[in-house]
Amino acid sequence: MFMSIKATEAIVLPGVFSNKRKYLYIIFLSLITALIILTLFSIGIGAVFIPVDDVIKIIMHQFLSTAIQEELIQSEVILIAIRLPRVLMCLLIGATLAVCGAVLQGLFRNPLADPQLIGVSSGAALGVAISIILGPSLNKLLPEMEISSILPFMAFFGGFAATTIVYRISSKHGKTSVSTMLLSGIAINALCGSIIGYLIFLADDNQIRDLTFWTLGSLNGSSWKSLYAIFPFLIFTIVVLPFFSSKLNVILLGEEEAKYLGVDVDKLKKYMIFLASLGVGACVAVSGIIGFIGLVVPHLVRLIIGPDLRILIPASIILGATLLLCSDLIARTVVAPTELPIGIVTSLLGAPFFIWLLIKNRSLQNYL
Amino acid sequence: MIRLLVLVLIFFTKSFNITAQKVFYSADNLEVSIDDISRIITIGGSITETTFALGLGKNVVATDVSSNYPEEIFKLPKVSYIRSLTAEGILSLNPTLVLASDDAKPKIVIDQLRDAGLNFILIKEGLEPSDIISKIIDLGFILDRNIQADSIVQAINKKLNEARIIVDELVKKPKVLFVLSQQTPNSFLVAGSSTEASSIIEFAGGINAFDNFSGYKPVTSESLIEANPDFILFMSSRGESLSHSLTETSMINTITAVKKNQIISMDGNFLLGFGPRFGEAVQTLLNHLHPDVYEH
Repeated sequence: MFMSIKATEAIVLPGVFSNKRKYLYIIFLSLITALIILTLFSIGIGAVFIPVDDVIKIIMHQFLSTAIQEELIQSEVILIAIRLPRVLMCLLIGATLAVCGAVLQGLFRNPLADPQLIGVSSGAALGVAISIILGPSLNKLLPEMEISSILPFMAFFGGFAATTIVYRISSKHGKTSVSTMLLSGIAINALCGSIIGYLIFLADDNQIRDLTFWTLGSLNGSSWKSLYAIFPFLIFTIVVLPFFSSKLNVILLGEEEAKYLGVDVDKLKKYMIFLASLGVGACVAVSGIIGFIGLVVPHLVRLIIGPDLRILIPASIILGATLLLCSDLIARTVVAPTELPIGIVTSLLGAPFFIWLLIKNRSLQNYL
Repeated sequence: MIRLLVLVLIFFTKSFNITAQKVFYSADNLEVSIDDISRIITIGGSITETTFALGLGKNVVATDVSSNYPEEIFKLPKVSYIRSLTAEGILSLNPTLVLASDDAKPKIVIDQLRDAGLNFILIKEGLEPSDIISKIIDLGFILDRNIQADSIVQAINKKLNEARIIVDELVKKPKVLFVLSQQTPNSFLVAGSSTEASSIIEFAGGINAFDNFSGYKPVTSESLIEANPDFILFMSSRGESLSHSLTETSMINTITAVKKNQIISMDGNFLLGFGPRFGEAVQTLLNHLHPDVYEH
């Protein structure tokens, strides 16, 4: 499975697609158009309906300080304080999860690689379980501390620590073995899972429900404050990762081959894993675990435009943002006035589509 | 003259304050002034039940998912689960007042709702009768139904006192096991200490069968046999299957409760609601546990 991307195919394909430059332009143009339209749509729609002209008035009021009617104040709060940060959060998180998934799949040459594989999600879940379940007893020692405010930090550090351990286990003398890393990832996931299981045993019903909701992911409660807090991490990941795409392309040939071609494979691995755990850790800290995006978006893109990471990575960024925004729009409108956890929507929406694509492209399997 | 003017002014401002707005301290110590109670959203089962018991059900426009009494609320829209509230969903119903249990979360959504100008009040809840009473009195004050609240509280107190007199004279208290659900044929989720169930069992003159752990935890049928409860209590919403497996499981039919067929099923909201029907619930359970004493 690890070696399923064969050297010859990886070399030939970019050539094939360079003849289809036009095709690529059309794909990118339609992806970007879809993203822009969906963003505007998302800002206007929600449990509270705000007419377009009111949206314009409110935005004018915010940025140009024009006058505004008294009765629009509540709509303004909804739009500016609740909906806008949430939409921006969706865009950033969707893009980050997808780009990290694309990079990890390339790095591990494994179609199953997603952020969960290197332990980020389970480490973060452990951090959250500790703060939800042991938080009340910690509160007795430090009465000033509030659980809801330490939770994102625990998630972030949990995810980061788990990945660091996975990386340490599989590295010796500066060399990292990909297969050891996959296996140690599984082991760390199992270990975190069992500790979470024990914490669940200690927990009361409410804490278990809180934890369950957290593992299903939600962008409910996004605010400007949380957006500012994770913005640097996410934007850094999204901007920096695409610069490594040509080197990652060479790794698709095989590690030895990449070394002969002058790529410092071990250093590259280190940077990629650091960036991916940084980005995903920050996402998980504010939104909980949102599955599927990191795994499937790169596959979707690959099925459409092939495995060249120079194209695949930017396309994944756009498609990831679009897909998460779309899922969140559904999550917060379909059962209004209540709301679905977003993890349910991403899988429900994406999985059947993915299956359909797999069946349709069965002959293309070799590229996965 | 000026002094008179100042006096008059003070008088007016003071009386204005009293008539125009009423101030209540939310459980998170925030001062909330209540002016309009025409459109209420209630969050938390006992908050909803109390609001209806105070006669203001007609003003309730929505409840949370965990509220399921009285029947009328099933016609109303539901705004998310108490521990994962959503700001827009609540605002879309144009409420003038939100009354929530202090279990309501997340804090950031509550802050967003308050920033949008909504009166959002958190009300303290607890497992003691004094908590139930102060909750009803507080809601009576907020909703301008002080007299109704007093009469509900008096009824609760009367019932609790009657129960207490009986319980105090008991020579022997039976061991009561509360089963929340059956997980596998051999494992049951049961109530430990500091749960609603253990609290009401004690008020009704029983001893909770498991007090060596807190919360609801799974136990095996082996530990059930070891604990050997005199009564088994469960919620009727769990249906016949639970009572069937409790009586038919050969492993646990050596338990006193099963041998004497002392298995009680009660409506979950009624039993564990900790709202206006608390006194009644205690009496009903007492009646089940001590049928002989209760007749006298």
